[in-house]
Amino acid sequence: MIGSELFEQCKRKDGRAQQSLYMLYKARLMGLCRRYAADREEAQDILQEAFIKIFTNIHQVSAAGKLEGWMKSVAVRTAIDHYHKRKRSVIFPETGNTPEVANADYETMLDNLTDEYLVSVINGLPEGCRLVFNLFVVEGYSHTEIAGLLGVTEGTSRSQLHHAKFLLKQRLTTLGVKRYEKLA
Amino acid sequence: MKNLPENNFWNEIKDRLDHYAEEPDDDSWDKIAGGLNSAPRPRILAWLERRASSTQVGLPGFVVLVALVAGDQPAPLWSGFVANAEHEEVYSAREDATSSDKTIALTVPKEAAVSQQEHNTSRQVKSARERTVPQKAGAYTRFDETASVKAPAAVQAIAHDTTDFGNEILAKNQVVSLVGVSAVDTVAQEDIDKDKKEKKVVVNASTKKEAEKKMAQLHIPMVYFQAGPSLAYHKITPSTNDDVTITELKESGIFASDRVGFSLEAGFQYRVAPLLEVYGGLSYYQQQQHIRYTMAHGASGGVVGNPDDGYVFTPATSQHEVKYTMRNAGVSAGMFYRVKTHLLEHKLGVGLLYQQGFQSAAGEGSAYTNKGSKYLQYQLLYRMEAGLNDHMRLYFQPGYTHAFHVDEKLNAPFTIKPYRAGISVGIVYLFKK
Repeated sequence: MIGSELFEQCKRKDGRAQQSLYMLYKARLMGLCRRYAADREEAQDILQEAFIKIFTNIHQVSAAGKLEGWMKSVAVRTAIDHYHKRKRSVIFPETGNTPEVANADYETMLDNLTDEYLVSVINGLPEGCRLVFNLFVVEGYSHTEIAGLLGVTEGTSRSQLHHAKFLLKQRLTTLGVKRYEKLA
Repeated sequence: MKNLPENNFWNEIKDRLDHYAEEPDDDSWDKIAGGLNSAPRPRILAWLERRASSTQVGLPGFVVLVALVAGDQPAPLWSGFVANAEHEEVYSAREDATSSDKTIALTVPKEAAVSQQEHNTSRQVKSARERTVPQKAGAYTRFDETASVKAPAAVQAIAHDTTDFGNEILAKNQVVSLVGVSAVDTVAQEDIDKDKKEKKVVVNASTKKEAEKKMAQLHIPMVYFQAGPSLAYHKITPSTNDDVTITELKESGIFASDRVGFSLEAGFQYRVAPLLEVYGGLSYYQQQQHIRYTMAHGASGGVVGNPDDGYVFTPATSQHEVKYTMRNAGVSAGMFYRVKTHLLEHKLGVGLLYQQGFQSAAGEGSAYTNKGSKYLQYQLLYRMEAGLNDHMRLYFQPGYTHAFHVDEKLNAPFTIKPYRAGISVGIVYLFKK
């Protein structure tokens, strides 16, 4: 939770307060940027742009309690801006009929994967899939909102999400997980 | 038999990804602070900034150079993740203790483990706690003998595959137990206790590793090479203990070609503090020197006048010139302080430069040779540096060099203290892994 004093100092563009806020949230926002970026280098660029936007527009936030969520949304939108800048090189793959993958015991698998490893799996997804997956599954945006943000149709958003989930499961499966049957 | 709801899986993924944290590079704040302090920039500058920070491409004027050196590309993410079918099944020691329960040990991918140990350990504690409840309630069926062997074998493919990531100790610390059906609370509690102990070990290892990493970044040895033109000038001080007067000096224009010099320098550079680097190297400098002067001396050049009006005595004058080629070699040392990182890394530098002349051939019409002359100079430098790739950095360096001690045998009624302004272009190579 960000203290109201720190928040007010940041609003007054106090350099020390800005650095303190940065120190508090750099790792968290870098983690978010890593999920959206193809590599660490791009994540660094997104993070820096996001923090500059945060410090430039922090006066728009009414209360310290809303700052964290707002900062995350700024980082997400900065990542989407990056995506739009590179849009010409981004291709939403044709998903076609995505086959079902047997629902192996991924829970067990996940318990044994580090977060960093998991993010690397997410990074391995095609860019369109990765964006939609992050926005829908992690950030909780609706398909309508995602369609607006990315400039695609809702149908594309849905199919990309489905494809992302399929690819993710498939990749986890190729890592060696097998079915562990359990009784419900 | 029924599978667990898939939503649990995605919720778990969401939870993990939502809380994922990673440290950015050390210089991120400098870049952000630089961005905050600057006014809105033209698009071309914004593009330059991206280029500079991308470490892929240097400045436009050096595209060819960049093309030669910017060959390093990151390895594909998946290159180390391919599961290996050949593996060795690993069972925890607890298998022996509870003969009827199959306890399966998994190692976690090491690369990821190094930076996420603390988080994972806490997750393992959580997992152990969560598993305890259904185990007590008998919600899980016992693995039969076939399943308990076959299943871990499949999962062990990951463990085997990740052994390439090094650090055996950490892998052992990352053992996760998948306790079978009849595991009792004491076993789960042992898990928790063990995890707590492992957590301490891992956190210590992490702190140590972080410190080592910072030290390694601090003490990266570097070599540099630079070359560049300069425009030379000089301060002439007439000699006071002779009987001549310099009446006229003729020098080349401010931007005349014979003022142009050229320097080369190469040496070692070392970062002794996050913002401070020291350097030392060998230097070479060459330049033409041409000074024409008229001097009046004691001999009479003529007397005009009469006894009534007085006489005007005109001393005799003669024209001379000093003309030679200056070829100096010597050593330099100094330090750079990084003042800010915006667009490029900006550094201020000061240094000392000691050179000796070694040109033995005299210039036309002059007996003076540069050989044996000594110059002690100070340098004020401003370096703008950009990364080309992980190992190479390119810089532009305007600089001012001023001689404060000169030992020249010019055979002229004055002494010279040269100074020059120049701009060098250089490359720094970083010896880091």
